[in-house]
Amino acid sequence: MAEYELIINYQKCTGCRICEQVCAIRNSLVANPEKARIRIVSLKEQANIVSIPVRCLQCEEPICETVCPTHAIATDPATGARVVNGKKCIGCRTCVYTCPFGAATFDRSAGTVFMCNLCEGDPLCARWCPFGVLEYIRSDESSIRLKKDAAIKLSDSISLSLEQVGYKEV
Amino acid sequence: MAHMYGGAILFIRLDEGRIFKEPTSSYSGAFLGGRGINIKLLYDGSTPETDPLDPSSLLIFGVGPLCGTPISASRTEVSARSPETGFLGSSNFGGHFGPEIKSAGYDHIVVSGKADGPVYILIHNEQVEIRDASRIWGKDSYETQSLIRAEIDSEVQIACIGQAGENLVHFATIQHDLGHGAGRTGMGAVMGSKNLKAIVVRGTKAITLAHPEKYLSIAEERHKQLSDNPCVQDVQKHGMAYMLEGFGEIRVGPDGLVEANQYDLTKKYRPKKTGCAGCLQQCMDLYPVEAKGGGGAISCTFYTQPFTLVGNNDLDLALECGLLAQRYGIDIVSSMGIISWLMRLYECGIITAEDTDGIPMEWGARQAIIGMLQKIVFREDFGDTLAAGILPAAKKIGRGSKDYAYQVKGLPLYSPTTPDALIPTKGRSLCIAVSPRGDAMRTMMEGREARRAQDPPLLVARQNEKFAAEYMKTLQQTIKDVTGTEKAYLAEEYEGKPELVVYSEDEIIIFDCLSSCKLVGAPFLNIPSQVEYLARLFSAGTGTETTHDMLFTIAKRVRNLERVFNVKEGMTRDRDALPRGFMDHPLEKGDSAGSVLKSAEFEKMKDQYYALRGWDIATGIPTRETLEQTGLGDIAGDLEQSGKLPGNLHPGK
Repeated sequence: MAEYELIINYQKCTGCRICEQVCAIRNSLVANPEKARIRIVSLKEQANIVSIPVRCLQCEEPICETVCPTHAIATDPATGARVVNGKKCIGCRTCVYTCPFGAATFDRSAGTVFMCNLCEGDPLCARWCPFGVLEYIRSDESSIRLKKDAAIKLSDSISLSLEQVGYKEV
Repeated sequence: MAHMYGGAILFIRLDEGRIFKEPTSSYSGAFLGGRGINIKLLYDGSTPETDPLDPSSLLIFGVGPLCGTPISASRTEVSARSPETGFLGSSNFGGHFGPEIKSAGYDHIVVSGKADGPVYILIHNEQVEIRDASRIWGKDSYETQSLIRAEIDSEVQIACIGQAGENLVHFATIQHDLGHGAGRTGMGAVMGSKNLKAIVVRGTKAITLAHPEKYLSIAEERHKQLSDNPCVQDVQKHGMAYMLEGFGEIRVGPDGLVEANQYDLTKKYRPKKTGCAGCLQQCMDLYPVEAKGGGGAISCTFYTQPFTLVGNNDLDLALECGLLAQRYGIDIVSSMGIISWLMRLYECGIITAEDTDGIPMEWGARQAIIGMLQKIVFREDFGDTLAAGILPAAKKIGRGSKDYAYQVKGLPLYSPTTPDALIPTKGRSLCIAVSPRGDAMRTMMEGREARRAQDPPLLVARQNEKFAAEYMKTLQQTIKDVTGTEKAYLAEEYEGKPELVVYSEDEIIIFDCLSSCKLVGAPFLNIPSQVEYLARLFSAGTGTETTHDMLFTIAKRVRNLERVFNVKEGMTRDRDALPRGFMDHPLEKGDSAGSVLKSAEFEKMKDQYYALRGWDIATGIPTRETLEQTGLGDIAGDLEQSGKLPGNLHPGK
């Protein structure tokens, strides 16, 4: 288990894509969402937009690592992130097709695959995310942290329903 | 290819179906980015005094070098001759369209000619197609985008017109996504006149940066500063409606009719946040589909105009009206401005319900607001008269109705620039009068003058006393530096205002050239030296060392070319004016009762403004010397040929 974890508060995402922009500049040195390790997919229907961050979820049993025929993918012991060895990667894209989360990306210009390396322990997406959608926090705090967010959200509707049944604070 | 640019200008001739490209580098030396290169392209490709809706007219989209990077820079500038004013039309919108254009490899898209039938343009990197749009013609902007996404791919970014643009309503907009739009000066009508329903873009290419790490570190410095800013935090947390709530002037409707508080709308529906690419503020509210109007995204103007301009207290009515305006693709400011004007005429007995197809134009009445809006969009009966714009409509109605029209150069004024809010602010009055398009909305004058010495102008967390005090200190110092006058930050002062307007215009031109947002930046947030920061970013990104002064030099060039463009369309000194009724009439009530805008003082400000700009005082036309000094020597020749170059007078030197 890595000491830190990159958590996602899906409901808070506004679709600003600042994470894509900073990720591409830091990790590929260009401005191009295609080169970002994280993507925001905005599902749009008429008057509604739902934006969902798609990124490596740092599986405990990574399929990408298992299926890689050249063992080009390894886990960085410091961060727990999957790291692709560009010299070993043959660009077969097996990891791209098998990742259940669409998180591995084939880089057409390099002919190899890239995936989130957690910026070597200081993920820029979390540092920049304006709405706390992405947070890099201690792994042992992540569970209660997500529950807290859910509780705050619930508290609104609970107090509302208490009001509706005539409850008054004394 | 130059760093930070898409690299090419895309030309599309819809009549011939011809598509070709030119390198952006042939323009990017002398002119800069969105607004800068747009005016150069427009100037070079336009024939003065032809109908803006003539097929030969150009419609230009442009993005700047900083667009698509994490600094709240995503704006696409749209330029064309305005069917609403007859002068330069320009308006910009945010969202995700601009960065996508650049990723496709373009900095500008220049559309000319008129297609035989409804079409849309599909751009996927190098591949550019003109496609049949008959299936989506007649659909509103939300539905149009849904249909196109279903047909092509959900990842495309779309700029399109609604029914108003199709029907050539002179103040139709170009809409993008939910809530984003090039709202002012009728750019949607120009698009409609070309039978162009939409531009659909998908780009996957990389924009290179000269010094990516350095760029990111400069950007992050500002990102942190903004993240700690109470104004930004308020918008992030509560939305724009909350920010506007604290601003008394916005809530005062005609004769104080408006008591409704737009923030209640946010409280009622608890909208999700949305906004532009790479921006930390996300200033728009995404209302759920169950809300009145069927849901969608709105921000500042939609929280003001359908309330204050039309005396409306009904929250749901305002929301519905705003969302409908977006779907139809019609300017919420001009449409509400015109309806407001009819309400004033009705109140004064100049028109009756008989003039307006049986609709009594009563303040706040649903039928008068939404009913008349729909009549305009579909050019139904009296709506057809109004669709031509406020001045042509006034001409048709006659009976002195023009004197009741709150407009400059034919562009209806936005709230809060009704007389009660405008007359006490002298700088803003001047700014609106001399502005190329007839408003000061994007010059951000609202944030540059304080009505009262201790009260920050706008968008400031006033409950935060410490921040408000710091804000006032920065404002006073900045404006003193710019104008050389101690009291120029005070709204009622005439002194220093011409200097302030020149500075503000130039500063905002730089923002518009670079695709940067003015709301996150400029004068609202107590963050000084905005242009220095942009210059540092620009230098790191392009690798060309560029200073604050160099950016201002380009801004002055752009401003002069925009002026010459307007001069060739018939701009004269007397068109740089506010409605007659605004002058020399003391306000009778409200917070600023007794305030008056004196025409003698106003004309004096104009003299000084022209002198500072190096324009002939009698005519307001740039002199040869000024044009040569700003690198527009060839333009002086143009003006001379058209007989409009002023004699070799050079006032103010």
